[in-house]
Amino acid sequence: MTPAIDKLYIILGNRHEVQAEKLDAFLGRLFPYLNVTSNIYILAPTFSEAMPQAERILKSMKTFLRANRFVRYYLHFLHTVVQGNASELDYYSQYHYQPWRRGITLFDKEAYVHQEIPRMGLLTIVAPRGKDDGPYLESLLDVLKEVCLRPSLYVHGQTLPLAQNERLVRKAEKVYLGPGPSDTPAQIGCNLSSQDLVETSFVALQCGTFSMAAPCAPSLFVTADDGNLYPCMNALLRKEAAAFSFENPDTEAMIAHCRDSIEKGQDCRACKERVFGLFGNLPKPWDLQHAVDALLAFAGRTCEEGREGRIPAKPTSYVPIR
Amino acid sequence: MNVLLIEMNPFAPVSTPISLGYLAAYLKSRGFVTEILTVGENSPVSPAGLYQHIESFRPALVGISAYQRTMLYVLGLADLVKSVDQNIKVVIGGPQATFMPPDALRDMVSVDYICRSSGEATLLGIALAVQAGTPFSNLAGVTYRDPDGGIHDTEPLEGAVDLDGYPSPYLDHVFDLSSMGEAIMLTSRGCPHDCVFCYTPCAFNHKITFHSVDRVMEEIRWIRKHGVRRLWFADPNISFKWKRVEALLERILTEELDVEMWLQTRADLVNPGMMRMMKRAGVATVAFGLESASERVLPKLDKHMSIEKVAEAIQITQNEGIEVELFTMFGLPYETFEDGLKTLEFVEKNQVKIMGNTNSQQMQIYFGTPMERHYEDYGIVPTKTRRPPYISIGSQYETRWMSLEEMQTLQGLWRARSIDRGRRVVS
Repeated sequence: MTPAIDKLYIILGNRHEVQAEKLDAFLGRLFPYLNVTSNIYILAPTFSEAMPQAERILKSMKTFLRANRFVRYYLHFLHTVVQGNASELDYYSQYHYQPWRRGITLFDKEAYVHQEIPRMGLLTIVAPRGKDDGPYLESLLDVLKEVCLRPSLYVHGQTLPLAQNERLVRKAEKVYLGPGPSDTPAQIGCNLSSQDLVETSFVALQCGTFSMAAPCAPSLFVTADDGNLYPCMNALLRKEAAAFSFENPDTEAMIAHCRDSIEKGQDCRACKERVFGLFGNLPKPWDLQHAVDALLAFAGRTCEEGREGRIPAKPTSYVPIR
Repeated sequence: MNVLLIEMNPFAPVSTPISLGYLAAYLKSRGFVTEILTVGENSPVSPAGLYQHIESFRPALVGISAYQRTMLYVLGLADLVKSVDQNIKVVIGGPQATFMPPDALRDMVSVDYICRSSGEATLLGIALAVQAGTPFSNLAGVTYRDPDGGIHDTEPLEGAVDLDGYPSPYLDHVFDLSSMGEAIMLTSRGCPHDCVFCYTPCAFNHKITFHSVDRVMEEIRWIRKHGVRRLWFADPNISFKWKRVEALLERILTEELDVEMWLQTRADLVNPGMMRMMKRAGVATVAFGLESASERVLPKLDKHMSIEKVAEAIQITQNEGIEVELFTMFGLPYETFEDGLKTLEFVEKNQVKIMGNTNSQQMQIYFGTPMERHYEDYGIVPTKTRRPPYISIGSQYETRWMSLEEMQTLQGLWRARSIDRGRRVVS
């Protein structure tokens, strides 16, 4: 079976109008190749400016979901908070959040009728720029929760102390920690992917299926401004775009090429060591600390023993990390 | 002729599809080429991949497992199958299908048959009819829609009395053991009891049928030979016939098979000697059905079980160092909020870890159960009167004794005390 893409990171830039139609067309071709349960991240430099493009993407997703009733999407939207004030909150709520929410009520109704979780989930990743934004962020998370846009928090560098703010953390669905630079949407995308790598690696470690050398679950990074595609975070960091751009109509060949390039050329082990090391240096909650410690110990042990890095299965309980 | 069997549960990791395994092994023994496709929450499967797979396998018949919670996905998959080729016949089976109202077929335009009776015999009948080019002739155990849109029920079919009559999905190479972390076993089917909320006794006419110890041992040896150590017994009451289980455990010990087992049974079917033996043979966890720890509520469920008996069974099991899991529910008939709290207190008092299967949940009202057929008598008040005919009351109800808000509060209290935040891992 053709490998399915598990996570899609769409990195928007400043050329929205020029690239919008091309991106739409590309996504229309790409959706059939995403996992039946997929996470899609929209990462943009500024929230308001990216909104028209995000709404177009949301519309394409809805169309695809309506035609494929066995597919579920979680759309994560990065909301970078530069400086907050109350009137801005009202504006966001009235002109962005509520229309978004209304736009997917058909999936809420469908879920209610079928007693299931909605097939379309909207999640916001709030990324504050300043560590003193605590009270404003609390209000923002409240507003987001009110309209069921389940908010998470992204903290990095000088905003890391916000992860110690219990009131704030309680309101967040999840806290993402940015171990690397976070100045651009692409960097934030890499950091989100890094935390995902830690979490999924730890689950695999507990199940006895973890390998340092094996590639991650298939993901795809799309940089909308230049139309480049990157098969993983490591490729994006190294600026090693796949040979195809998003204008290429042969999506299946493009996906196969991306998978091949990961499986053949990329240094997965070095990437994992780098990511675990970055997280090792961050202050973090105990469960993430436990995961990182276990992964670092495993990486060290397998490196010392010159092994590829697989351990036999052992029975253990699975505790998901928030 | 090719037959594709699909199980899709996007809410849980993939586990061994034991029921589909039996169906595949049975059809295979009758000359059909079968394949099983399982899609779980983390399965790397895309719509395009599914389409291509169906297109290349070219099944004439596709069977899809149906559960209340996955009906939307089942119908979506059925649409996908028909988009590949309108001539492929689609049958749904499983707990949601057995007692689904026949008229539900009108709302499931891509489904041709609803399987009502024992899966092996019923599916074979459909496969033979499809193979003969007369897909709606000589059928039994099904409801089907004819080409003119007419809906027809057929006579029920009896399943095998001796389960050894069915080929083994393990011994017949239906499952790929190389990628299996845990083997699910089904050494008996059905339940003779009367619990008013449960589907199993109704589906099996309150009868229980068994595999022989020889057959189960043959499977376990095969599974161990292929490196799988963990066995998960899906039998509703594995110790229903103690002599049989005793013989099984004795042979596991004699042959030094080194397995780790999970099993479930009734609290009144265990004793200290049995638990000692289970521990020695490798039983790591035993799950009991408590349902409610309220003296007012439990007797009304026709479970014929006392709370003291469950407490005693927990003690006996824990004394041997075996982990205990308890199945509990809230939103039961006659249960007030205070009764619901008693269940939580009982679990904590008896030092059963709240995680996995012990995470409590609201009772689900499924098709075919006494609770569903006589819900008004049990004080159930559905919160939604209009539903698609393929969906039962499920969790959309409150009771004369407990409001929706109270149920949500109870759910929150359980989650707050849960080690794994309420994630029901196993079932």
